[in-house]
Amino acid sequence: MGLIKASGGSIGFAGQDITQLDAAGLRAMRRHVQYVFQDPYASLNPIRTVEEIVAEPLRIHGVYDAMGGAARVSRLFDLVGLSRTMLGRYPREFSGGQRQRIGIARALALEPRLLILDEPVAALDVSIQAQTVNLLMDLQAELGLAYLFIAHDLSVVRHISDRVAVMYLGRIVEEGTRDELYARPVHPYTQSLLSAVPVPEPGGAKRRIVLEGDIPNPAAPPTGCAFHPRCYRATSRCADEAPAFVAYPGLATRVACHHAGPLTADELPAAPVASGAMT
Amino acid sequence: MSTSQRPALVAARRLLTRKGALLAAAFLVVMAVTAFLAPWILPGDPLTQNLRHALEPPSATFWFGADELGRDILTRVVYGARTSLVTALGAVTIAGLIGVPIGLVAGFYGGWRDAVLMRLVDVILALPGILFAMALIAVIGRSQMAALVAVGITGIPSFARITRAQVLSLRRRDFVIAVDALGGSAAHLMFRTILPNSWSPILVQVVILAAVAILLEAALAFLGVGIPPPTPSWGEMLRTGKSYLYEAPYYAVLPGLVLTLTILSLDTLGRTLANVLEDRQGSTGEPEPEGQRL
Repeated sequence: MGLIKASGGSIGFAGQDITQLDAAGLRAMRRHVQYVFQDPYASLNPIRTVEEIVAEPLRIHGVYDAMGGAARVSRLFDLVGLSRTMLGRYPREFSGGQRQRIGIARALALEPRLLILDEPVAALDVSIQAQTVNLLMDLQAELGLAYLFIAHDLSVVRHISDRVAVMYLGRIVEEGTRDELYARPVHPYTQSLLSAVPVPEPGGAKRRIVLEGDIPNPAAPPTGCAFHPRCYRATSRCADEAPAFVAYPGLATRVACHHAGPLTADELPAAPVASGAMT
Repeated sequence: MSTSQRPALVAARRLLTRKGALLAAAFLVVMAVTAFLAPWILPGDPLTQNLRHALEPPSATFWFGADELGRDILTRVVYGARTSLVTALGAVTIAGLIGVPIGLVAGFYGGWRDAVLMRLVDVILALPGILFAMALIAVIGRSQMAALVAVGITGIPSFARITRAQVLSLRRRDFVIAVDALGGSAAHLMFRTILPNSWSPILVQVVILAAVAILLEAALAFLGVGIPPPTPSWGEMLRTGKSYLYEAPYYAVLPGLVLTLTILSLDTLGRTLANVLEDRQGSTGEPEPEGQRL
């Protein structure tokens, strides 16, 4: 979004690299890319009514009247499932889930082509999470826009995504279609993540790969493959040479690992721990 | 929570439920109204001299006595309130109109703008207010305008610093970043998003600076460099009253009392206001902005 200056690489949107854009270009780009914040309590201006908040993007881009003014704001409220009678209220009068809906309505106001959702449900209760995720999916079906959904909850990711990219220390380590990635992960980090997903079955057998050590400082990542100090497949090559991000043969997946491959039986912990003793 | 009231109204109502603040506000309102309506509600004129009644003690005619020129002290105190209020209003306006934008720009952009603007503010801050005011009056002469401008300039640093601290903490908040991400311009961010969220400490500063301004104006008059006579001023009355402390001890009582009560009221109001506004912030579950307690 150009909020923080990129330290390297390029960010492509609609055929142009947005790290090269000037202020005017950035402003124009921001009409098409909107952002939903993680914390619904902090991302709404406390002294404006929610109507003013949702109308703000329209006013900033000078299209308030052109896009239907108050009627447009009311329609956005309908779209995200909020009552029009709430238009004149202040953010503090809303619950977390409602506030996130207001944040989504604000992001949709300009009819963007891409919505970046930064952990939009992480701050919400589980029941509200489900509502919000389903709302997002309905909106996508209705409005036909792209989502970049950032999350750490693997069940949510599986529910909402078409394609999934797994990041470790700021780099994508594996990327593929949702079904492929969840069924046949080939990067050891992805494998360990997926093994940590709780099984919704009482006493269900659970074989969990527990990684050793702590997450290193992202500002000074380890040499070679950043994951090698914690990886169960690491060899000396991993410490010296950063793996390229390449297609994995036979799958629609791209991966950055010298030892990519499906999980083998002997890599899983043999005996599942009794679920009562698990922490 | 079904009612949707403007946050300012909520704060105002909560302020007036505090006894001290209510009393202070009542006193200030009565004083301001009396001063404003003085020509219509007072029989006399503050400038009419009547030497036959010079230094006359309190009586039915002169409730608080008469001064050395036979002028009614009560009338002069009421008209003196006009002087004080005009000075306070003017000084706060000058200080706010210059100080708030300085703090806004310095805090928003940071970098060299911040460095240059805040060093300028430090220069003003380094000069003792009363000395600076006296120097300025020495240059441009004694007048209501001179006193007002002098007091106003000494108030600039506090507005600039408080606004800057507010901007620095708000700048990192999500709802400000959200407007940035929407494509809001710098002016939009500063004046539509950040400034409207900064009013609480600025408002407190307005009240406190009003007290400082009234006191400083009185001090200048007391030292004989304030508003020139015969315009009534509390400081000027205290200065003259001091000379007649033995012959007419009642002379300085009323101006001194009213001055004290005014400062006390403004101070109480300012402190309660700061309290109430902080409570309001706490109850919404928002993190308290840093620099709030400056």
